[in-house]
Amino acid sequence: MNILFYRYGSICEPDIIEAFKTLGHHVEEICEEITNKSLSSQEAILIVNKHLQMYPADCIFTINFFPFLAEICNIYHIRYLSWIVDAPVMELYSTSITRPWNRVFLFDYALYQEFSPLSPDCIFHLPLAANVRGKDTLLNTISDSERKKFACQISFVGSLYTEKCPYDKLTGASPFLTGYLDGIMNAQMQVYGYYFIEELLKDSMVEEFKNHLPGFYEYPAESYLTDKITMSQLYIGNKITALERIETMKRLSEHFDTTIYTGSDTSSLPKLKNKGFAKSLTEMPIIFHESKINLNTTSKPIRSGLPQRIWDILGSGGFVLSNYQPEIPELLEIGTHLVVYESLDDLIEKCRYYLSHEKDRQEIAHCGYEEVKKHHTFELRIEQLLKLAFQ
Amino acid sequence: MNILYYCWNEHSYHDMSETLIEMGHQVVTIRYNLSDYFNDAIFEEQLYTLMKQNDFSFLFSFNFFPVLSKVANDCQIPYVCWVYDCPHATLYSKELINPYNFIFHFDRSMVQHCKNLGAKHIFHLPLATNTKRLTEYLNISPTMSTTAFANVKYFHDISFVGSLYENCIYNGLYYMPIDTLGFLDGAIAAQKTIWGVNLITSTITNDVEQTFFRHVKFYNNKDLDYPTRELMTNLLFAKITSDERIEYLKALSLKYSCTVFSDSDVEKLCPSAAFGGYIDYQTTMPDVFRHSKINLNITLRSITSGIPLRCIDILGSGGFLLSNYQPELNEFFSEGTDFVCYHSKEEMLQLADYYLRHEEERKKIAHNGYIHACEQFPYNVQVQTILDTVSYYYK
Repeated sequence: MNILFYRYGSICEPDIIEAFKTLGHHVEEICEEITNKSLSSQEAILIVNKHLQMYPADCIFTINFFPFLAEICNIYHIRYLSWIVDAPVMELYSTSITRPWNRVFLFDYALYQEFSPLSPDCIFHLPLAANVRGKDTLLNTISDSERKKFACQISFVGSLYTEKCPYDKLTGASPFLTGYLDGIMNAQMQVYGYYFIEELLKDSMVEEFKNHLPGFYEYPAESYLTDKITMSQLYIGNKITALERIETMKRLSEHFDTTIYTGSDTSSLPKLKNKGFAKSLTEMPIIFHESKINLNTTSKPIRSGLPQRIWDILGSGGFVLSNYQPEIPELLEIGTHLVVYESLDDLIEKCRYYLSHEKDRQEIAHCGYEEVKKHHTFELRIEQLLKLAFQ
Repeated sequence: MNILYYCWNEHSYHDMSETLIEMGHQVVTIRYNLSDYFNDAIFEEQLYTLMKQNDFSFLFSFNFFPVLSKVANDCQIPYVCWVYDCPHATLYSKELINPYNFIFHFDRSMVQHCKNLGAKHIFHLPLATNTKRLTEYLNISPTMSTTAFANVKYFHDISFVGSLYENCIYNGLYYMPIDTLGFLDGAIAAQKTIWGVNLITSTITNDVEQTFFRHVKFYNNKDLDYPTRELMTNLLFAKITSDERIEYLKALSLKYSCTVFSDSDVEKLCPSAAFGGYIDYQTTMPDVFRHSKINLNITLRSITSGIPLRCIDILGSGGFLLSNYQPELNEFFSEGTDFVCYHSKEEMLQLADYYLRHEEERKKIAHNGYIHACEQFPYNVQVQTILDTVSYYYK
């Protein structure tokens, strides 16, 4: 099959291209948007159009969802395969989501429940996966000194969300509203696996919030997006993630030797070692392999699913200590393949235990690796994706 | 054994004392209105003399009275108590850690909490049903056939027995800064979405707590070390329970025939429900439970894990129980087999609708619940556990 892969620079892209090729498909790539972030949809349409005329494709594939590609595929009558790997993805709310040539795969079951009623035959739930072979190849060739460079007790790879927190633009809202939002956000931070913010927002609160947040996000074209969803997921969801990650890193770094790989500012956390950005293909697998404990704190807009980080850590043979997410027990065995925490106190306790029980830790990391290698590789998922898309 | 029983006219006095006597023990009852749960010189002296002059195996009371604990400790005689209230402020007294205390608590999370506070002998013990009394009174028995059990005449469709807590302290707050009020409203709204977990205590921040207590003054009892966070949590829990009971009962009574038995002003707070008045624990309540199609439980939020007495009473009276999710209820009884459980107002309405229309299933569940309550928690079994535990530690 000829697949046109429209790329924008997601870290999953190389792994998925490799999986397509391993399965015997031909992949053409359009990479313009990776380097040119100000590319308009009009320009992109021209590029894709031209490409399709020169190299006819059986389908277009993207990570996440591009409404203009849904429209192009609808004209060409070829399938548009989109795999959502993050949340929130505001483009999903575009009315282009209902085009009959779409085949949209959502990694998060809560998202699936939200969207599948819009186009039940074309929207599917598909968890993420890992490229185990790629990581094996890298880990087999690195030197001891390189291993040592990344060895640490507890590490976390990811943003603190402090720099991507549009909530902080809120100015001049009533003390009652800001108090109320502080109250529900604090409460939400105590709960893993159930996101209740949206049901606690009254219409009048959404209205007031919107009026006091300059540049409140509105979808640029026709969409199913409501202000309540935007407020709950884009603004509050990311704000809670920021609060939660800072608090988590603060508690962890006060108790243990803790390292973070991030572009975020960590100056408010003096005990946290910040080693800057990690390169996803050449460094991340080594970090995961060489950390005694790899932390996963899922960002709050991911309501039920497993983020890419969990799969990448497991696929690198690393030990995962993750917050509880409802889909974890559906896909992996808690306590056998990975360990989950249910509160910050629980996290501290589990870090203490697993730092001092090396055998338990190694056993779990090993079982997790074998499980992912057997059942959760990108090849297996892509096979399933294509089967669902062309059935 | 020779037992000194302090009675404060609690509902369960007869069930407890009769059970002890039937089991072959002697019970000496003292009744006295304590002026102060912590210090009462006249009573202390009388109790001390009584305990010194007689050979009692232990002193017993329902709930924990520091003054009893103090005297028993002085006499070096065990003080055995069975706590069925939550919150129960006297547990924060300094007498909690007395070595002669044997405290049985119906709520497992509170047992852990009291252990952390230094209580030496504290045990988890769910509350009991007096099978013998209810057998005679309601003419039912655990051995009767399903058909005989199902032969019941209904007086009510849906019943609820309990307070609506409209006079809770939170409703009477005089002034609170608006941002704090907003925060508390948010915390309350969040807690309302989840049963079986205490969200409030850890949601409250130190700032909010300090502001709160700057504007609410409490009489500071020198004998009581009630943590302010705990106190604040329980004030909010009473408020949440009040809101929830009114809200749930309103929603139910708009669709179905629903009777509320309460000392609250039901006619004002929930006009669509029928008002059943205040009913007597021994003489009327079992009838209500047995002769209602559905008995509703909406747990007081301060009870975070234990089985409320209402649930045991409903099951022990052969009534059908529709309850919120409550950890220990779901642990000791089987959901959908012995009782039915909801996690939200919407689910409660759906389940009420379903079980009003499915009489046979409902009766089967009530029967199972009754049998399992009589098997697991009859008074004589629970009391034997108390006696065995005390004998084990204090020979």
